[in-house]
Amino acid sequence: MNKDLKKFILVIGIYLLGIVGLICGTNYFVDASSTINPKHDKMAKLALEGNVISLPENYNHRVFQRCIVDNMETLPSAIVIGSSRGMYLGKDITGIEDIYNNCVGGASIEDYFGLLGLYQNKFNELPETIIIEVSPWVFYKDNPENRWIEDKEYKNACIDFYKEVTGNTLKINKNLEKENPYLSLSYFRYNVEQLLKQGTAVFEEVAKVSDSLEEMVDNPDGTIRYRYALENESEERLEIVKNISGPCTYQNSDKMIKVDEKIAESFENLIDYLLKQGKELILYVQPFSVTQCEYALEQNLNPAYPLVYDYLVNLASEKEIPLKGNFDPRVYGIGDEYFIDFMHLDKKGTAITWND
Amino acid sequence: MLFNSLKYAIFLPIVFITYWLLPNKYRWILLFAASYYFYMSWNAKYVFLILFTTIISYICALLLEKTDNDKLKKLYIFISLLMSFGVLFVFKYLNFAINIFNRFTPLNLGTLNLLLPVGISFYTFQTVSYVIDVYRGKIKAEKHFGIYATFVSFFPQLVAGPIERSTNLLPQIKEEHKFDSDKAYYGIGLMLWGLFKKIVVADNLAIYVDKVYENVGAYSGFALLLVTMMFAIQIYCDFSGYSDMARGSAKLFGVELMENFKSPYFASSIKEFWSRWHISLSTWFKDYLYIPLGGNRVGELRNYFNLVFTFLISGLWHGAGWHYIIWGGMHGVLQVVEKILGLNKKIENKLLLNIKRVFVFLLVTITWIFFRSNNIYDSVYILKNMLIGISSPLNYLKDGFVNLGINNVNTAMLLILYIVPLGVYDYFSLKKDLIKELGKQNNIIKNLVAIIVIIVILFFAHAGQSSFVYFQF
Repeated sequence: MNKDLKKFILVIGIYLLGIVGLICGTNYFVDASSTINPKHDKMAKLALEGNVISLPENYNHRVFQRCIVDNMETLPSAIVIGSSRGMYLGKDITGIEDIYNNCVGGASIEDYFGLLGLYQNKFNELPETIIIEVSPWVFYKDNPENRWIEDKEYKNACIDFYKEVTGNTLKINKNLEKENPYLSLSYFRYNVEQLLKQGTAVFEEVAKVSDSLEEMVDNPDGTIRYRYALENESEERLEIVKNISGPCTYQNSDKMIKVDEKIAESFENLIDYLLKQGKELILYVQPFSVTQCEYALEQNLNPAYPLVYDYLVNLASEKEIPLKGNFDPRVYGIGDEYFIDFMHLDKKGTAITWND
Repeated sequence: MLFNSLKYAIFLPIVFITYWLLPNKYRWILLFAASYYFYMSWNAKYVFLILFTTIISYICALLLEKTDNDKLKKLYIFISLLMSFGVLFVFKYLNFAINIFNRFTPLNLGTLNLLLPVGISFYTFQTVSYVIDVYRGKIKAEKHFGIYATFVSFFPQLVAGPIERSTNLLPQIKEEHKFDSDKAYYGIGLMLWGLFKKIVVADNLAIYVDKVYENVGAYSGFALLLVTMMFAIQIYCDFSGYSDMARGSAKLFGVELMENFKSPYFASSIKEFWSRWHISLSTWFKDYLYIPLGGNRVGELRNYFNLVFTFLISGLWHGAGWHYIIWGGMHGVLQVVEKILGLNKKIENKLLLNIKRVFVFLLVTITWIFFRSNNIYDSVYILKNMLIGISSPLNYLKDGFVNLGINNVNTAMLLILYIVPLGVYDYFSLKKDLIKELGKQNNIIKNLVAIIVIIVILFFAHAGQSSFVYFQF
């Protein structure tokens, strides 16, 4: 190798190491949303003490739930698992006193196993009543949701419980660029932004009792409350809800055309396993906004949504478990004014769909 | 494997170091293997298509060179063109042709569910030009299959050009290269600049462009014109950014690819625009279609026909859609009008020259409406509605920005970060090679500029990976 080439490789190598080191180092040491080294223990302890706690921007839902279960002293008699579309189901709406809401944003089928796996690992048993919020994209074979693999303990809980329930090993779709928080350029920028905003406070775990209606909070039963402007009916909120002009593209579900057989099989295995254990199950589906339904259902731009609903109706009937809710809010006489956005009902609307 | 991806950032250094460690006679093997690996990272099964096109063109070129019989030569070239264009037609144009056929006949033929293989338009044209050049005696047929296959599949230019001529690239694949650090640093500089154009400028502008063009009916007035101008910059930065990264990557191996863009938006006529935009394609069409049709060595009317026809085909090359054909046709017609009115002549007066440049930029921007729109109806809607409200110029401009969600800070960012550096770079590039000039400076300045560009990329690049617009062609 000639001298010039060696020098060139050295110079470029130094630049590359510098860039990679800067990105990785910042992401690792700042880690503003606790993706690499999640720190939600303080927050979880505060929540379990019966406090209404502020939810920091971009906190890691799954790590938080892992810390919650880790810090629980007793097994709740009922839990809610699923996505943010189930996050209002708690004591107030269900009427169950000893209930905890463990919903996580964008929950996929793996999250059902992960959340239950956490309880299984901690208590060696599961709660008596399990409410499962189900969204259509759970059954989409190309659902891009992969946050369940970010936290090692959560991921292992999922893999182990999946194996226990189905007897199979869970396949993981790894995407080098998407899932690597160390090398993520967007996470690097977020960390720098938070570092400039918060200073050294960014290195401390954010855990505080909420003292403002302007914050998004976690209630003592694990349910959430959005910031005031979204939590309550308003013209601003209604405008957001009505500002839809096409299919629901969340998790690319506009491309979904059927209920994936393999995912359905895993889901049914889970249901059978829980029923065998003598657990009481309730399935819950939350509506989409009226405006969204006009595109998704009437214009059939989300052709798989009615298929998922029919599948759940048949499954619930076959297994004799209650199915509450519907993807179409008009069944309950609910309009767009009950929605926070195109796919999240507010608390009043959730109560209507639950109690119907 | 995109140039702006982690995979490429790992792939390129490995190939680079291995290349320079290998003796020259084995380097083509490495480049060939790396190029096929690069191509297969897109879709492994389509490697058979590029192999097929390579084999056919290789054999036909050898056969036509061997024979003195002119009829046989024409037969071999016909076979080569038929096979190469045939594959391109099936994968790119068949469904379009079927839809046209169904429209005008009572038959209702089904369309095929075929994915467009990445780079097919580029490598098809590259192999076709090679066979034609052999036929014309411009180059000897390459006997070494491996070298020829490496020429066809050379990874820096495989998926989105430049469309290289065999007379330029083939000898460089064969020749022994000695490591030249000046060339290598130049390559790195090109790659950095290309990356800036792609992931800082193009991808950030794409947010606005995509939002509007996916739902044009929800917008009117300046918002429509503004996003079209943004698209003009987006597509330029996207494509030229890719070309810069391609050229930069090639330079690391001592290979010179042709320059594909030369400050096109400083053109003072549509004719000049096409001597500065996607140069490898426009020269391909000039040498292999326009001139064989007679070029401008025929009567006036026939010349105008040649011009419009060539650009209609150029439009069609870009995509199987009427809006692409219309876009190409518009460029042909505009050049005819320029010819008739004598507007394509050089202007010495600086003020007039700059006025003309602005005018040509606006004209080209209008044609981009057809290129970017999902269909003709959207294009017509935009043309009809983009001047609504212009009678109140201040409100017209303000509403445009507001409707796109661009506040004061964002506007400043857009201008300062994206458009001004680009404009300044392209303006000074008219006279000088700025990267070469930077290379002549001392190490402190060179490193400072590199660090600034890297910091801008780190902090302002659009998060999330995006593909290149021209990959769809």
